[in-house]
Amino acid sequence: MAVAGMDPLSQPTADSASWQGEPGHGRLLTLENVTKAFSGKDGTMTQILHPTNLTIAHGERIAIVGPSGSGKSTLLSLLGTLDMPTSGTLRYNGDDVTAMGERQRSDLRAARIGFVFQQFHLIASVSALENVMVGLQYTTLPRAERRDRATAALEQVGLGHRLRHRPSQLSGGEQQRVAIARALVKRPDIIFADEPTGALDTDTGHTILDLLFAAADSGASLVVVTHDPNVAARFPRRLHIRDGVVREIAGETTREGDGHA
Amino acid sequence: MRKPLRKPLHKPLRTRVADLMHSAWIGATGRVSRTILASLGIALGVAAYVALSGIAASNQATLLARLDALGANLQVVTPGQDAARQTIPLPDYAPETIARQPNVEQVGVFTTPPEKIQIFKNQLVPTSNGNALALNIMAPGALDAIGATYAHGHGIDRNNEHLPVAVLGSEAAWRLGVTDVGDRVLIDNEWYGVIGILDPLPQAETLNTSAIIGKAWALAHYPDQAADIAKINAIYVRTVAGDAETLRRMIAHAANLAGGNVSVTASADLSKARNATSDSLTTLGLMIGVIALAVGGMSIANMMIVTVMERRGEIGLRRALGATPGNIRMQFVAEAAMLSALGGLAGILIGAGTAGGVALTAGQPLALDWGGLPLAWGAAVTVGIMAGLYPAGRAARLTPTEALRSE
Repeated sequence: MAVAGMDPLSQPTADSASWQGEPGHGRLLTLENVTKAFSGKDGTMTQILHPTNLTIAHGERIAIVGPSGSGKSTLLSLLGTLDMPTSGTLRYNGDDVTAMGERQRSDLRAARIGFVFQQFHLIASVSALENVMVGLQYTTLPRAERRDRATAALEQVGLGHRLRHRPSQLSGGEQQRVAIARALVKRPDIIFADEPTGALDTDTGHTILDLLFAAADSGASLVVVTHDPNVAARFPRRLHIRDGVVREIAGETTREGDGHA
Repeated sequence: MRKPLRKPLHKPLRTRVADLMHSAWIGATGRVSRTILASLGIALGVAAYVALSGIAASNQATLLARLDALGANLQVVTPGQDAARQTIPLPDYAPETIARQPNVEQVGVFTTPPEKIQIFKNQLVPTSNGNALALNIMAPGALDAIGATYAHGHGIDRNNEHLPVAVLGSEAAWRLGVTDVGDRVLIDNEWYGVIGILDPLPQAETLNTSAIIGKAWALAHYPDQAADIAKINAIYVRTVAGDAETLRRMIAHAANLAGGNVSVTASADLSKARNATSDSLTTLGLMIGVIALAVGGMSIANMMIVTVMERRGEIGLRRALGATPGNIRMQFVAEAAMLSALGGLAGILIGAGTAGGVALTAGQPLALDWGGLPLAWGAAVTVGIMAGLYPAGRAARLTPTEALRSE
């Protein structure tokens, strides 16, 4: 069975080794010669991502930087299984995601992958707690447990006193914290954050980043797309993307946020 | 140590339905004013149907009551004739056997009056000046079976049937110049006290021009004709509403178990009117309801298309959180169904209120088509589901990246 490693039906003993590797060891995600192209209106294909090989290890923290339009978000969508590559293979825990059906990929996202977006994407008409519970809606957990976990996740991001507030009653930073709680609540293998501080002021952005790092400390990998060099500087591993070409940025070590310690 | 989720592939059905209803509720009620506007069409459709069928039902109840008063459920059994045109008398047991039949509510017996009886206001009226009034002899309770009501006084019962008292039909009272009980009339040169004057009886026209006396008195007063007087002249049979032809056959059989001819006449035209009325009014309500529901469905479809465009971000988010295209489709279909279900409930309330108000002002009994209410609601929900299919399909076809890019 191709997806045995992440098959949600697997018994805990059967595959625990494959996903519970120590941080820095074991491949969580790999891109093998992955490309992405979109067809334009005139029928020509525009190459957004040139052939890329990339490995993300368990517990790794990675920043993806680059100018706007460079393909950052496309790369993130591919890694997060939201989009399928035009060619090449994406492996999750060794399993070929590109060979999976829509439903399996959805199940994978539901159980293992957390997302945080620049625009928060909270549902305006329901409370913070309900918004976090939506993060577990497509899992099999019973409602009561979803509620308990969502409460715990909101407490973890410091919003234990804001459970009943609607998004409109929260500040931008608080809204993003709700979004982070929504990503955390499923205890994901990996969190993808697309410009998580883009809509926030510097101080708030700093706090949000701290929260993401703290969340990753529980063992999740963290991939953040940013155009802010100050944000990127806090990551031990940085990828630069320009015109669809990804390369590693070598250089100084991080000042902080070293989750490997 | 973190624990990843260990999930079976499918949630239990109850959880799935509960989650679906929950997100449908959130989605449908997220914007109250829009929810009201979108479900207004459905509400009006259901209200139109419920109100119209309710008004129709009230009208019908009133009309049927009137038709029944006119005798739509009244059959008259009279002696039949044989091939030689000789009258076959009704057997004495006929009232009892007829009364025993199912669907028969009341039986009233009139016996044969003596011949050549003249009725006058007093002895001063020349006997040549006949006023075309007839004498009828009734057993106690016979007028009740016809459904007669009294303009003045009361009828002949077991307490006064052996006394020289008479009940006058409305026309008879007018012709005799009797305006109230306590007066007396001269029947076959014998004074009778008038104890009751009837209202006009459209269901038994002949009684309007009759003076009616009790059977016990008649037998005692005409001992030489007692055998003839005891013969049954007519049996009025009040039945529950039903197929007139079947009832007629049943009554005819019961009236003469030996199979002799009897004549059973019914107000057949009224029975037909009764059936026709109920059909046409119900059909009208249904047609208006269907048209309004279709329009309501279109307004829901319209609003769902706008909703799907507006909530692309949410759709993208839900896809990122693990919703399959099927989950998204179900969510929006359920939302449309929720809108129409709410609209349907509102429509039932509005319609029932309208029907009740109309019935109240018209002084009619409130009759709702109770069996039609769940059907109307079910039709509304079905319309909502159908209206939601296309917008939900569009939502489900959005790729996560398309949906997330939208803002």
